[in-house]
Amino acid sequence: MTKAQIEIMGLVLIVILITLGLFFSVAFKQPQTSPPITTVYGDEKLASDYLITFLETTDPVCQATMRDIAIDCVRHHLSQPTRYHCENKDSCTYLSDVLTHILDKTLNDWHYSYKLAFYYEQGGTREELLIVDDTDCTEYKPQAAPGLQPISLYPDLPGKAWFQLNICR
Amino acid sequence: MPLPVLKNKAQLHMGETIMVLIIVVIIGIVAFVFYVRMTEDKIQGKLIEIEELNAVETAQLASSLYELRCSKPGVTDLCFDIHKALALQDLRTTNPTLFFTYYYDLFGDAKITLQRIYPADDDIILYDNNAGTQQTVKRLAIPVPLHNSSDDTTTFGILIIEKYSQQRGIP
Repeated sequence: MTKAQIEIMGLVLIVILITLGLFFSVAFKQPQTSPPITTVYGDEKLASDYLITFLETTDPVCQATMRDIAIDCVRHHLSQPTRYHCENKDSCTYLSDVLTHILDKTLNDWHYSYKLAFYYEQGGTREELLIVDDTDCTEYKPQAAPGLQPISLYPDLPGKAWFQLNICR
Repeated sequence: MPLPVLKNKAQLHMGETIMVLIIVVIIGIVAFVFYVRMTEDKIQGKLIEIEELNAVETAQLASSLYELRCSKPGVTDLCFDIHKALALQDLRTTNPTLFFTYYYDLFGDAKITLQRIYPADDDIILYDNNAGTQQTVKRLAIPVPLHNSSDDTTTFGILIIEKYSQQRGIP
């Protein structure tokens, strides 16, 4: 075999190796995983539907909706006379207990990562009256559209209040 | 003496040609395997997407069923009447032929359950048709208020949609 032929064989070998390398790198590369359509659809609706459903729910002990109990929680926070004293608890504690009970049977049971908070704002100062979350769901994590439900306090109370639910993916 | 020289050259050319052919065939096989694998992945992805879309379609149909909607004025769109849900469950058990004649076209192979979370704690099975074994399940959960028109109370409910589809696999 001449020197030129040996060089050609070398080149051919290099081409084969590069081709095989490319083949294996593409063939065994993990495809980029995007969340399934059902997850995207479910998560987008879940946060807002969850809050709407929660606030509409009637509590059998208080004989009031969760929305009414949330307004009473603001009254309690502002040290104003309250309307409900369910199970001898103030409205904020009772609201938190019911919310925890519902979350245990839903989002916690489905192993969702989330942050649920009840905010009250007056004169530019925002306060968290209630917060249920796990430390995993931070603002830096990818999230579905947040659910936001305002609670009308007018005309009884000043300021504004709202529930916010963030669900992390 | 010139004959062996000629024979050697011809053999050398023949050898080169065979080598080139082998290399071309190897590259061809690699390209073909690669193409088949890519096509297979694309088809699998498309099938999964179709199943996902079917599940979403079933969820949308179930959550907007007119026969379950609250009839009380002023109630939000997202609301089921508990009595209507119980009546639908009764129809499914008492007259399955009539029930499935109508609802099979809508939901196909699926299970639709209404879970009462708070204050009640039970399940109302609205639809259940699991045709066979070896099926994959796509699951969707939609929170929905369940209104009881008898005492004007609302329960926290979850509409669970489980859509079945045939198990796929490469033999």
